[in-house]
Amino acid sequence: MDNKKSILIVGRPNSGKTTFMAQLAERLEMDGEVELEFAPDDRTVIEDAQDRLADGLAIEHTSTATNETLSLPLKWNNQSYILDYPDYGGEQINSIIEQRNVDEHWKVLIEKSDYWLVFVNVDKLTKQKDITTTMINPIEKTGTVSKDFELSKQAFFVELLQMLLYVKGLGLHRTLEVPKICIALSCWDTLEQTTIKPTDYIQEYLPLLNSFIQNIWSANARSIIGLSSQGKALSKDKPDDDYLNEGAFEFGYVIEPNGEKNKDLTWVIANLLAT
Amino acid sequence: MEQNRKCTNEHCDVGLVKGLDCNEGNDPTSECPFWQKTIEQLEAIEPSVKENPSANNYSLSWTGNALGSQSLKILTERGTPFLVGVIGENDSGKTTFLRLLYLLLRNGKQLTEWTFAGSYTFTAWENVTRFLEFNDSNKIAFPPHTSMSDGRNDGLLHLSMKNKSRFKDFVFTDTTGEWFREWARNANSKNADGAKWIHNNADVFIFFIDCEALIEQKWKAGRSISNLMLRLKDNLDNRKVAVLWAKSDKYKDIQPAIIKKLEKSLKANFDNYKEFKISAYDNDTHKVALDIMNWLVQPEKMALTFIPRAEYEEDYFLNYHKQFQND
Repeated sequence: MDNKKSILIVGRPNSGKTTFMAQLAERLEMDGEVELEFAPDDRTVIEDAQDRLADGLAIEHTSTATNETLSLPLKWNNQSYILDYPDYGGEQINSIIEQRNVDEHWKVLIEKSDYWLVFVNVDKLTKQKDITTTMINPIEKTGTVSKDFELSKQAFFVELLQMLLYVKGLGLHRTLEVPKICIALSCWDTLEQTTIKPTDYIQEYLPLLNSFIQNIWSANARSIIGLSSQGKALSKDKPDDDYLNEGAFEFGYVIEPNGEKNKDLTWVIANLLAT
Repeated sequence: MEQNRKCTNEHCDVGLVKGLDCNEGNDPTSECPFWQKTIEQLEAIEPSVKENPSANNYSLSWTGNALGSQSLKILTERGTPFLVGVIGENDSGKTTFLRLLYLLLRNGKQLTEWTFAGSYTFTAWENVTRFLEFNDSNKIAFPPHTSMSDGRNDGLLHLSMKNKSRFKDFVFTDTTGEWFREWARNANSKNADGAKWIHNNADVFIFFIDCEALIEQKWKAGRSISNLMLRLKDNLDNRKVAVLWAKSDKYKDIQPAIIKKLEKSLKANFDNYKEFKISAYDNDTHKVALDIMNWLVQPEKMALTFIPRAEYEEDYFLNYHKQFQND
């Protein structure tokens, strides 16, 4: 099993990773492009999430203290793979950036990974207004800034990817073929304009991150997709009738890089493996 | 032995894999020159990087803060960085200009031939760019004056850029104007060592002329600028100098005689220079900022053989607050 290629899922808190895993696990048992090779040893990590979705409710946030990894054995094109989802709560990703170090568990996962699926939540993502986007008037030079400092979303993700590369022993000085990377722009259904191509969206809203990815990964080793694992907004306490009547597995979709909508969530994995 | 460190010998993973022997056959590994260099590099990095809270944790070799001249070594594995010396008096707009450049890249603008491919100093870039972002009241604040003791992490700002298949590290100096004032006044002053380091090592320069200061202080400011030009001229050779008339919305209010005299000094002191006018309040600010960088990084200058002074005994960028206070 150790020789199987492995896929690592990474993302910040509330970026939809657990919802995706819960929905993906349902689809793997159906007739998607990717199949479950055999039942995973321990699926408790997503059980609560699957129960919530079956009840037509949004899932609860993963607590930071949770320290488990769900490993799904997958089969695609007659090859076996392992999908590793460290259910660490995205806060631990934030902590990696703030503390500037990676613990042993993450280190092992990063080192053995051949494919990275990175979740970037696009819900409420707006362009920061600054002196390069908006003309200023001299008399407006009276603002103040908050003492709290945090990296912009773009800088955060570039820094995170730089760190992952560093831990994997890869520098920033060559174009990479491995690990393959897929940026999943998650919560796609929250966008006002859902017909935009993911590649156009990332250039419009996250150009620094896009430039970094284009420069570090070869064209064959990278892809940008839109992802809505739920397909629609769900309440935390009011069950969604459609979910109750039709089943959670009927919802969710992917927007392929060319803008086409695909209801097979396993395509996310197939696409990553095919890059 | 320091674990979780990539040995400078690219074929040896002794620092990464427990139980692995040194690729060069050294036993103990501490006798290996490659491994000794690894440890030297580690120790050259800022103190906060050296703290490893747990033996099982894998610390990163950069903090996100500005680099010091010693920690430039982390960039040298992929070739010599292109160092841009940013020179000017206090409040002349150096910090604002650098962050303007970063913001342009963050918002998707590009240099003609170079595109963004990473940075080891995001915290340093963004800790200041937030002054140039509109706040909730729809106002901006401009970065405060970079003083000797405000504790801000001034030093070297890094951008990794790519041109077709070629990667290059761009490093910008971001320091207090006091360094340059002291250097212009007395080149042998201890407090001028940082400015001298920049003068010795930079591939190109951005030289700031503060229009506002020329209006308020007349030739008193002009003389300081002129003295700084004279100092920069020493051993300048053919290195490019982008001369920025900063806050140029006020350029028209400078006494013509002062402009004339400074223009004359520019011609007399610099062989390879180009003048630009830039103001945060002008429509073409973005274009000018990119034009400046495009001119500075034109290919012929990329062949310069800048070698970071690894043997430099002091790190002026990390120590300068202390230097000033103790002098």
